[in-house]
Order: sequence, then structure tokens, then C-alpha cells
Amino acid sequence: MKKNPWSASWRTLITALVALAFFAAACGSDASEGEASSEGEASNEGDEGAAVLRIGAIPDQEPERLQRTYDLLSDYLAAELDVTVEYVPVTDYQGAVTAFRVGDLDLAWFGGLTGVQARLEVEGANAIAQRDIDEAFTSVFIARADTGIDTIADVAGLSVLEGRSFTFGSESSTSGRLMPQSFLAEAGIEIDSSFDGAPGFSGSHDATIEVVAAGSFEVGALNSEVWDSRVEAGDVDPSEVIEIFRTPPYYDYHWVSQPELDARFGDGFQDNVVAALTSLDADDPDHEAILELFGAGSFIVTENANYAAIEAVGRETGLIRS
Amino acid sequence: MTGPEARIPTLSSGRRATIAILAAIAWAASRAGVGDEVVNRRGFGTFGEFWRAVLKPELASEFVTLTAESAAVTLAYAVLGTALALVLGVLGAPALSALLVPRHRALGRLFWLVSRSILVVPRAVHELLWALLFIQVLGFDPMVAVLAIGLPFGAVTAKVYAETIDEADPAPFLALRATGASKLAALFYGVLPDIRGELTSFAFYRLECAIRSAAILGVIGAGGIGFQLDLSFETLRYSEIWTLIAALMLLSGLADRWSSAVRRATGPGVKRASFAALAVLLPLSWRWVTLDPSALWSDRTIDLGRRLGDDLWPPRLGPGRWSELLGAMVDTTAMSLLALAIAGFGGLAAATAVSRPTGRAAHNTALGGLRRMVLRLILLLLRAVPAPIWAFLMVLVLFPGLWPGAVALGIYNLGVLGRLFAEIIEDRDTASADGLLLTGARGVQTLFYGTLPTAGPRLTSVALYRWEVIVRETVVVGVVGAGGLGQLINEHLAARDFAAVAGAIVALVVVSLAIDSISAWLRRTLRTGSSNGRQVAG
Amino acid sequence: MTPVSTGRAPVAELTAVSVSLGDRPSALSPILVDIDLVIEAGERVALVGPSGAGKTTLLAVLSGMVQPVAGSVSVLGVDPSNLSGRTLRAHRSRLGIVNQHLDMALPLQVIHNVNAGRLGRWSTASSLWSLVRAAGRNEATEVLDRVGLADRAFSPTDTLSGGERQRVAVARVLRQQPDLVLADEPTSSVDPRLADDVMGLLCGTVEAPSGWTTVVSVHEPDLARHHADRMVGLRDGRIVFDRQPGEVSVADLTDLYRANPTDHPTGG
Repeated sequence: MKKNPWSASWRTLITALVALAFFAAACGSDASEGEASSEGEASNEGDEGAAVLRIGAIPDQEPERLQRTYDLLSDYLAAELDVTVEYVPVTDYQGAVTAFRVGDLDLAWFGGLTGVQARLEVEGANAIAQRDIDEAFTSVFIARADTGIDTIADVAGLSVLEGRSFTFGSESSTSGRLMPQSFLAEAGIEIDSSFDGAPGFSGSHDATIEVVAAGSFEVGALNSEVWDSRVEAGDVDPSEVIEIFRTPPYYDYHWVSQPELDARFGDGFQDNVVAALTSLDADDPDHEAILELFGAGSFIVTENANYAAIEAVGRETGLIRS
Repeated sequence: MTGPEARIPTLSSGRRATIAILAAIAWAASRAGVGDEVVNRRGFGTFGEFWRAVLKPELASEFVTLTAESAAVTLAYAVLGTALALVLGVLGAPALSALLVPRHRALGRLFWLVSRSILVVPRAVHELLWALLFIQVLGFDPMVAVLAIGLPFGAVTAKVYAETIDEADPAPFLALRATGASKLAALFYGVLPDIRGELTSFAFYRLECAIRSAAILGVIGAGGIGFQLDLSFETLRYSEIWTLIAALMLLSGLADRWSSAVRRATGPGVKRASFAALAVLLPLSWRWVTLDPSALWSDRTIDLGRRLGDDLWPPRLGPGRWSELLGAMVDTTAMSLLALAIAGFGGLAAATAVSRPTGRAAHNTALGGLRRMVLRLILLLLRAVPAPIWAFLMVLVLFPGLWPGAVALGIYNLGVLGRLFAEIIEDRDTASADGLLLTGARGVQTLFYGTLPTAGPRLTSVALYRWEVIVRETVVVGVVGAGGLGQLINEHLAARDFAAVAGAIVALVVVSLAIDSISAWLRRTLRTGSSNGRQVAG
Repeated sequence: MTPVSTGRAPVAELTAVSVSLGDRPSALSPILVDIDLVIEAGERVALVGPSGAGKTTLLAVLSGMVQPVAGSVSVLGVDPSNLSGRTLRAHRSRLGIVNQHLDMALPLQVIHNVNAGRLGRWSTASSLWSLVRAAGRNEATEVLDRVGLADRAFSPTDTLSGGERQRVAVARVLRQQPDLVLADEPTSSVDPRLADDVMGLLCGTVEAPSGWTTVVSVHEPDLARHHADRMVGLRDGRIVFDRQPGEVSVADLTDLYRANPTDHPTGG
């Protein structure tokens, strides 16, 4: 007679299930009673003693560069503001808006569009500071060299892109999607019908360069700052990809803060943050590295009203619908 | 299919179903477009660069440590998600079982219909979408990944467990009931002992699937290997990507092995050891990701949950109205069909090449063994790399449209189906193939005269179940502009338009349900509705 | 046809009971026709007759699994179809069931299949806990001892031979201590010697009297003659005789098992 394969494991299974239930119950009650066990995480509301300022950014650069940038900035802000500063990395644009929406970020570096979206979802949030270059930011249109597309002189000239295949960067990018789409619309190009096929979304500025170089798309649009730095670094082969147009300027990247910073960190805290950011000085060797990583000469004060135009474009293009 | 049936009596219903499937695939291919406009030769440069990097993976100790830590996070999510799924499945299955809640009375039938409909939604919505919704409420919390895996998997587990209960011999249950045992006691004394082998196999198959899901969830920032892959991909660091892929292959390969071993185990040792291992892994995983369920009932969660509810409800159409939504539904269907065709036919070819010759008459050579090992590794690679990564690679070499997404899903699922097919082929009754080999038939001939006729029904059944999974997976390749509902959902998310997201999800559920019923109908028509197919494909 | 009466309160009483395949009495598919049967406490009733005579259905009517389309049923003082929930469970816990196919979970250890006899009286929670740590070990071992399986209490049931499994089924009933045992061909798959043991245990004719009432269907009239104190002959869903074993003649049995001239032979 063959030995039964299941005799004891049956008992093991039931014991395991019972143990699982107890374990889950025990852990549940532990966590709800002993708040102390969840370090720092629960400091969201009124936990004055261990106030942590959490900062984050849309991932428009490579992650290591972001990490380096925000590590330096965190140290600087911690020293200036006398609070613990924690950098929370996020992998996509909407992830950053979500983190701000749920309150996981106190201070976030957004693009024009994501900043407006974040403020629309968190009532009372404020645009507080931006780089000097963000007052007049631009996008570039690039094309494969062998498409034969000439340099385009003005916005109206974008109409020659009719019938080409085209890619944006991230869906939520201001310079890689929103403003290019808006300028295209001005030139009479509707993204759903004028191109050869539906427009692509490469996911990032770097990926846009890559897929245009690969020929997957004939034309693409991206952040001019990223383009310039890649060209400067020699990462772009001019025989493959060329710049065909640079857009008129618009307001872009900016810092947005949660509404109740003063209540949580003390009166005047938000002003102190702005002061700390704007007093970064390119001539100060300690500050220089930070500004250079941000690609900025300095930070300047900004306000919500500066983004009314972005919001209007967002509504026209259907990227702001609330 | 149009003429009167009496005139063409030779066309069996099975053959008609086969013709219908082939016609549907042809339709999908024509919708995606065929000809010169599909392959983009210029993209092969970057594509080749990616593959060449396989020879120089990033081995700096920091990165290897990071990879190992991320792998542990991915494993932890899978273990915790599976545990939650099992708890939900065990609690839910009795309610769905016809044996425990008979459907011949109006009330029982109503209860069954209601609970079944409630369970349809978690299953029809992909883990990635669940995660995207939970993240709006919980923020970047490990609970997001655990819930995103546990909820849909729990629904599948409940359904499969209920079906397993109902397919068991009811006589012992009824006899115990006749002597006054309660339903639950009769279930434990009369039914479960007979089916616990199947229940255990399915539990560990879920764990295997959970690892692949956990890797995808990382892509939206839940951490783990998927997260690192996403970071490395954004900056196109192929060497790092290969290190991470190697870790995923290791993890996925071990989980597959484990799940297979449990499924095929004949002695008590494997299953007992497996449960013991799971019991150890569970608290370790809990600690590793510092899981804190209290986040579920914090004030902030309740507040944000209410807000998300308001944002989602009522669902509405996006700016593109019905034409956009219906077009996306059709695209999703076409994409899933193409992916199924690639995965099914490719998987079959791969499986016949990798399955060990069994039976007395088979030749087993060392060279054959090596070839099979290499092929198995390739299959493992195909399923260990998350579908969005495949999609990005496909965008390089295929022109935009439905093809990149379809091919990406196709090759990813080829990896999954190839392995399941190989297992079925190896486990089948080998007598017929043996007989052929003894008469001097070649391997390929025994495939068509021995293997397929015996294993065919189960293979078809597994493939059709996989179709249901593929439909749900179309959302994960939507991110690269692969079209269909996935891309539409992505677009609505970019606009923070949750009501439109909800609308697109409803459309996805509708497509899912339609395909579930078509798949069920095909399985019935082909008379292949075996419980075994369901066990490994759900 | 006057039922034998011993003067005690009846354990079961069927009056004009008919069962058919459909919902209504039907001439086409009668399974039981117009059955009148009174069973007194302590009686050991053997149902005999060819396959398809309705023995199994009659037992199912007594256990409440099948409801008649006509007639009235009273078992242990109640009509089971009027019961539900707790009262039904309480009623059922007084019924011991042994089926031809044993209907037990073979992968379970023997002791759990024996304890299964107590499920009607145990709470669900203690039933489940008993699977982790077997309850009532002494009692279970004691009844296993009576069927000669004391040393197999912790063996998985599927490692036992067919005859041993049959004895486990009997042990389950012994463990249950029901008021009425309903056994459907409990001896069909065991050798003659064991069949005699099984019948003896079920009918309480060996060892101490069981104190319960037994209704058992059997194939071999000799077993019935030996263990029962009343034999009910069934054919084509009707009672053809109802006597003490000594009064059943060879002619009665020949007539009962004769091949049906208008139909295919149905067994015997």
C-alpha cells in the first residue's frame, strides 16, 4: 500500500492558515496601538517634534543627477531652515502630482503643467519660486536629418510637419508635450489627425532623442535645456538628428508648497523657504554646485498668476479638465 | 457559418471554432496593418546595442547590492500579495461554491449572481491599474503593492477554489450533511481533504505570477526591481538593465521551479517544506518592506479615499467621446488577439523544442539536453522581463501602432505559455508518441500524430485562459503609445481626469468580460474545458 | 399487509409514500409506489430485493434526502421536510448513515473519519480544531478497537484496504451513537466473512446491543435472515412482503428476484 502523501501536510496547511490569521491580527493591533514603531512616516499631522520637510521633483533628468541635485539641496535647506529634509524620489510625472496630492511631499519641483495640476488638486497650495530661466523657457523640435525638413522660422511654419510621424516625451510634460502641442495647434496641426499615425509618447526627453535618432518617429519635441546639454556633451550625432525649431518662451518649472507649511513648521516658514531658495548665489562656491545642477543662474520669486497662461493652454489641449 | 448547417455536415463545431479563431487573428493583423510599414530597420542600431550589453552587465558591487535589495523587495511584495490573495480566496470560495450555496433556490441564485459580479471587477482590472488607484489614496506605501496584487489575485483564487470545490465528488459532503454536520464542517471533513493538492498547487502558481506582477508594479514607483529597471531604462543604461534582468530571471526562475515542483510533487515533503518556507518568508517580507496596515484606516486614507471616490464617480467619457472609447476597445481586442497568436503558436513551437523526450522509445542525448537548457533560459528571459520593457524595445524596431504592444505582450506571454505547454507535453500520456517512435517516425511527425492529439485539448484550453489574462495586460503596454485602452487610460491620467479613467476602466471590464465569455464558449465548443487548464492559467 | 408491531412508539412511519422522477406521481417513472411502513424502536429491518427495486430511495426518504411526491413521512417523531437550520441539524445528528460507496474523505486520517460521526453534535469551530489536534481520542480508539482497527487510528484512510475502510464507516456510526442507522448495501464490496461482521456491528447482534434501530438494505437474503428480525421485500417500488425472517419462504425470495419478463433482468 502506497503511503499517503497528504497526511501531515493537511495539518500543516490548517496550522499555517490559523497562524496567518493570528499573525495578521497581531500585527494589525501592534501597528494601531504602537504608533512609535512607524518612524517618521506618521509625522504628517501635528507631529511638531520630529518635523521632516519632504521634497521631491518630477523626474525630468536622469535619476542619479536628480539624486545628486536634491541631496545637495536638502543639506542646504536643512542648514538654512533648521529642519530635517528628506528627498523622496519619484519615477514619473503623475507620480509626483499624486505624491503632492496625498501629502507625501511638502515642497515639490514641478513643470508648468504638473504644477498647475498639483495646485488644482491641493487647495491653497502656492507656486513660490522658480529659476531665472523658467520665466522664458523654450522647447525644441527635432527631426531625423534624412527627412529633409528645413529649419522652421516661426510658429506658423510648423504646418510643414503635417503628414510626418511625431513623438512627444512624457504625456504630462510641459516642454515635451503641452507647449509643443499648443504651438502645433496654432499652426493648424491637430495631433489626432494631422500626423502620420497617432503621436507617440516616448516617456522622457532623452527617450525622445533616442526614438527620433532610431527613426521610429520622424519628428519630436523636447525640453530645450536637455537638448542643449546633450548637444554640448556630444551625445547627439548631428548627421542623425537636427534641431528644426525653437519655440517662443513660456513660464515653466517652479516650486510648489503645501498650504499649511507655516502651521506645521512655525510662522513664516514658507517665507523662509523662499528666502533660502532665492539667496542661493552663483558666486558662492557652496551654492554654485546646486545652481549648476539645476541649470540655473539663480532662483527668483514667482506666483500662481504667472501660470494662468499655462492653465489656459492646458484647458485648450484637454490636459486640464477639472 | 452562413449556409444551412444540414448542407455542410462535415464541418464540425470544433473546426468551425478553429476557423473563427484564425479569421479573428487575420482581422486583428489587418487592423494593425501589414507590409513595409511594420518593421523599422533603422531602429536596429539601438536595439542591437541593448542586446550587445548582455555581455557586459553592470557588476560594480554597489549596483549588485542594490539589485539584491531590490530583488528582496520584489519577492516580499509577491509573498505578501499572495498571502493576502489566499486569505481572500479561502474566505470567498465557500460563498461562491454551488455546493455550499445551492443555486436552485431563488435566494441562493441571487446571492451567487451578486457575489460573482462583485468578484468580476477585481479580476478584470490589471494589478497595475489597482496600484495606480491605491496610490492616490495611500501615497507611496508598500500596502499599495500588496493590495494591488492581493485583491485581483484573491478574486481569481476565490473563483478557482470555488470551482475546484464544485468539481469534487459531493457524496461525502452530502453524507456528512445527512448526519447533521454543518456545511463548513462537512466541507472540511468531506471535500477539502480530497482537493487540497489542487488548492496548494494553485496557491504556489499564484506566487509565481505574483513575482511577475510585483516586477511590473515597481515601474510605477512601488520599488523593487521594476523600479530600478525603470530608472535604468529612462537613461538607457543597458548594462545596468541586464544586471537587473539577470536578478529577475533568477527570482522568476526559482519561483517557477518551486511552483512546478509543488504542482508535480507526489510525496508530502515538497508541499510541507513549501508551506514552511512560506511561513518563514511571510514575517521576513513584512519586516523588509515595513508593512503597516494601519495606513489603511488612518484619517488621511479615509479622507483621500472619499476624494478619489468623488473623482472617479460617476465615470464619464473623455474628450474624444464614444468614437475614441469604442476605437480603443476594438484596438485592445485586436492587440490581445495578435499577442495571443504570437504567444500560442510561438509557445507551442518552443514547448515542443524544450520538452524532455519522455517514454521508453525516446533518445536522450547530451547535445539535446544542452539545447533544451539554452531554450529554457531564453523562455525564462522572455517572461522575466516585464512587458513594458519589451514594449519600449519594440517601439525601436517596429513602427508605432498596435504592433509594438502586441509583439511585446506576445513574446512576454510566449515565455509563460512555452513553459506551461512544455509541462503539459512532458506530463501527458506518452504511449501514442512512443508507438510512433517505435515505428521509425521522426520527432516532428510524432508531434502531429502523437503529441498534439493527446495534449492538444489541454494546450488549447490553457491558451484560451491566457487570452483572458492578455486582455488585462494590454494596459501595461499602453504606456509606450501602444494604443488601445491602456494608452487612453494613460492619457486621462496625465490630465488627472479620474472620471474618464473610470470610464475607460469600465470599458476595459466590458471587453474583458466579453472575451471571457468568448473564451469559455470556445473551450466548450472545442470540448477542452479542463480544470487543469484553469489551474495554471487564471 | 399489517406491519409487525411490538407495542412501542414507532421510530419511523411512512404512510402512502410515493416517489417518482418528476415532481408529481407519474405512471412513467415511479420509484416508490404507495409505501406503508412502520418501524418500531429497536427493530432491525432488512430491505431485500433486486437492484432498482427502490431500496436506496426508501432509505433516502427515511434520511430526508429525498422528499416524496405523495404520502406522509415521520422519522424520529418528525417530518424532516418541515425542519430547517438548527432543528434539522439536531434531527440529522440522530441518523447514522452508511452508504455503499462509504462517502468519506480518503486522504484524511482514520480518526478524523471516525470523528466525522460527531460533526452533527460538535460546533463548527471544534470540528475544525479537531483536524489540527484530534478530539475524542479515547472514544475514537475504543470504537476502532471494536472494529479491529485500533492500531490504524492515525493512518491515512486511503492506505487501508477496501474491507478496512468499510469497518471505518461502521466505526463512524458506532462513534456517532445515532438513534436510527440507515445503511445502504454496506456489505456489497467486502468478502462474506467480513460482511457478516459488518452486519453484526450495524445490527447490534454482536457484543452489547447497540440500542439503536437499524434499517439496512442487503443483497444476500441469507445475511438478512441471520442478522435482521424483520425482512421487507421490495420489487418495482412496492412492498411485496414484510415478515419475520423465519416466515420468509424460499418461494417468496425466488419470486422477489425473478427476472422480469417484460423488462431487462435487473439483477439478483
